[in-house]
Amino acid sequence: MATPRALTALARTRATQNLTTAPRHQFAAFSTTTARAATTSGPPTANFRQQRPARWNEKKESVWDQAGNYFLLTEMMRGMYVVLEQFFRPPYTIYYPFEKGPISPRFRGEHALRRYPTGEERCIACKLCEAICPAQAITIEAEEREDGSRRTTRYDIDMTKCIYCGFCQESCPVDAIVESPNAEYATETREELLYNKEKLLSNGDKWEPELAAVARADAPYR
Amino acid sequence: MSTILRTLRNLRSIGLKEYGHQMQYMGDTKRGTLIAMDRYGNKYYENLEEELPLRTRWVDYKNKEYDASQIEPGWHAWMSYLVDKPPSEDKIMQRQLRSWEPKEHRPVLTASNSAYKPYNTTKNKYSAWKPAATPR
Repeated sequence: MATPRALTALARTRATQNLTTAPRHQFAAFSTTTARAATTSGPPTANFRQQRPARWNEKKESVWDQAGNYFLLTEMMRGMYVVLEQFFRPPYTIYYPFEKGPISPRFRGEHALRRYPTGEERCIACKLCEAICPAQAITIEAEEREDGSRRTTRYDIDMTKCIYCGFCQESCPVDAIVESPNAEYATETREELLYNKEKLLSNGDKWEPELAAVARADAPYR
Repeated sequence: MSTILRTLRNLRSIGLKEYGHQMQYMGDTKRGTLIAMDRYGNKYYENLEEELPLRTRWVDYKNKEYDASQIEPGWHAWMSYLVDKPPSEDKIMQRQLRSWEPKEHRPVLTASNSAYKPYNTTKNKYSAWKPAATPR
């Protein structure tokens, strides 16, 4: 049995220079633009953060000044001035649905069944996703197709049960079931969220351009 | 409500008609470069210099009854800052590259007659019992 000491000795002997000194641009870069500062006026200045406010026994002003500040509501006026300042600033609220918040390429949204570029569906009914689904939202039935290949006849996902953990797309050996970056599929009735195989395949057909972009973004890390 | 100077600047830049249109729909005035119009008819704008972060890309919907699902796939990724380049410049996100893709974009059709209804994709495993009385 390997002790931790033996493992660290082994790690020391192995050459790790390749990892640390390898040029970073040998991987396919995801971002194609330069970095921007978080504000339009550039990065914040060095003393951007405020100092610690003075405690009650560190106050320099006299008792009369403190009483005057208290009774003349100067702190209230200062607080209202901060509110007034916001009125003259450009709003930083995101105006959804005209503008949208950022999402990651790994965002886990609505499910989709993908196809190969030939149009053949990827799913081979191995039922790994059904087995791993912690909410048991997936139901699969398989049958032999006329050409002898193993395909699903039923691939149902109960989207009201799904917890969007992403285990199904991680377990899939052929990248058939994926969670697309789409989260805007709200429905009027609960019934419309019981997806069957046709709905999932049509989702995959619709979102394939974006699924390809997501796969490209994640490719350097796989 | 925005700052007065910003509103006046945008009004001078985009004109009265577009100003009224933006105030009617978005409730704020913005100016920027038109990136492209998707097949559905939505127009996408960008202004990286003047707008605050996460307000730099926006969409002008084609329909009066706008909905976020009317944004086409690909443009949805661009709107959500998932990619840097719009689908008009990025081949991988263009549609109709594959023969099996849907021909036109359909938004979520819930609360309409065309809404999705779940149905069974397999044959039933059992059949109902049909009572048949033997003649006496």
